Amino acid sequence: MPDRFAYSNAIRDVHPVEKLVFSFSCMAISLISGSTAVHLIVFMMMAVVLFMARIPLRYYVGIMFKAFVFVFLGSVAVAYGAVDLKGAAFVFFRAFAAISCFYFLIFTTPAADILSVLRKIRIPSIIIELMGLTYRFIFVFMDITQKTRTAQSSRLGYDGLKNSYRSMGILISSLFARMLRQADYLNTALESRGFTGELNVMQRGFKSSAVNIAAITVIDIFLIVIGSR
Amino acid sequence: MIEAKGVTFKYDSVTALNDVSLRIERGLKYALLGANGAGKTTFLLHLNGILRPLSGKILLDGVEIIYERKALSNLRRRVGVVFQDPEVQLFSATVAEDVSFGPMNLGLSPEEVKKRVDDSLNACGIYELKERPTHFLSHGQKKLAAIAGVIAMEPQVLVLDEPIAGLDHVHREQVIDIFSRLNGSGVTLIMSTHDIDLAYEWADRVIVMKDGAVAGIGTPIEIFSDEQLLKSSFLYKPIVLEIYERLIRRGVLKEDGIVPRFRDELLRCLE
Repeated sequence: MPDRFAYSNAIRDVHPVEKLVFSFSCMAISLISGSTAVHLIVFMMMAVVLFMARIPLRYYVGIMFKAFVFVFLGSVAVAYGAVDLKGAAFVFFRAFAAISCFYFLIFTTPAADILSVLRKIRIPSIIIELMGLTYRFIFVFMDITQKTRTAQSSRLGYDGLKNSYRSMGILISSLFARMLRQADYLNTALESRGFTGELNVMQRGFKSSAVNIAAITVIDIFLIVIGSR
Repeated sequence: MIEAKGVTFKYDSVTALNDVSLRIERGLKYALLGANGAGKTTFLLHLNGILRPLSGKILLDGVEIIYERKALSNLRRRVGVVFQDPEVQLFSATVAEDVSFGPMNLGLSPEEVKKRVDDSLNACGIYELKERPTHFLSHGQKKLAAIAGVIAMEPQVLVLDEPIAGLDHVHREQVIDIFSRLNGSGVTLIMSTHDIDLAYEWADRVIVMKDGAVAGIGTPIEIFSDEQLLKSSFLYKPIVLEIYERLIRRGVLKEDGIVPRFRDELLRCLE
């Protein structure tokens, strides 16, 4: 779960706007640029930055490998369909550069920080609140699912194909019922803390860094220059 | 301070509370006992207006609660509820955000919100979890975070629905300690529990509920000396009291009007 690292990496306290801008500007340049050199540089750079953020290399390689399989199969389809090896390689590198930009963000920036940036740029609060609750409840439901599954398997719920299908069906329907109940409870709990229709919470303070902003600008210009040669 | 007068409540057609009348006095610690399904949670949810009586009324400082937004908001400012399952109470990505929710709703200044968050995290001994995502906390830590989220609103009355259920003894002690300190600063506490020994030694008053009605209310010694009540409500005698009474009966101890409530007090009687 990359989420775990987002809260405990060496650049956790860097201003989320800087991280977001860095990630998205590099991604945009990679997607627009036709230069494979740019794609390779972006890919390497993100790996280096994540290394500096003390994300375990092994974990990063593992998750990149999964992406690799996916992108590779896609590229093979391009190579086969269009009989264009060069084009396929091109798609492959570009996709990889963009993915690494995205992973950089996911590995270094907690969801709470990303939401606070969205709030700052005045995305409607209803959208942000929904995103926040969705995020929180992914973990609640993962937990419930896992516990239900354990309870089912300990009574042979997944013993054989027939049992497995049945158990899975029960799991899904009970999860749905629980979701509704959980939503109800949450509403009660929020109300008793004075909920008035908006989930206002305190925002964490971040310091922006001139060095980071300068570095991001230089890197972006550098990438654009390389790409346009 | 809070009074229930003839409160009746039904979930669909099932009667959960049946003509409940009792008075909560300011500054005292109440333990609410009763079997599962006796109506404890339902009663507690009436105290800050989450549930509305079908008939009867709830009074705050002698004034009947009106169920409209402003009056309810005023009520919830003063009466905080900590729910049994902290999982349903925590909704934010991080602990600090979640704890700040109540104070933000009170319309406090950002500085005051920050102060309240820090103070209540410190009071609960979880300041170091401040920026931790809620989903990485253990059950005990979630419980403490949920408590911090409510005490950050500085309520005058704190309603606790089985706050120690499922906690290890370290967290249990920690939680009880938080409550005692709050009570020391004047907060009225109402705690439902299944822990009879705790109710006996901790509470100023014990309320016993049975089948949606109040079966008894009084000091711990009054309640736990009432054999009839204990039997009909499926309760038993606290171990300290039981041993003390046996020792008196056997003539080992002489009755001197002071009944021990704590283990240590009982042991001292024997010296």
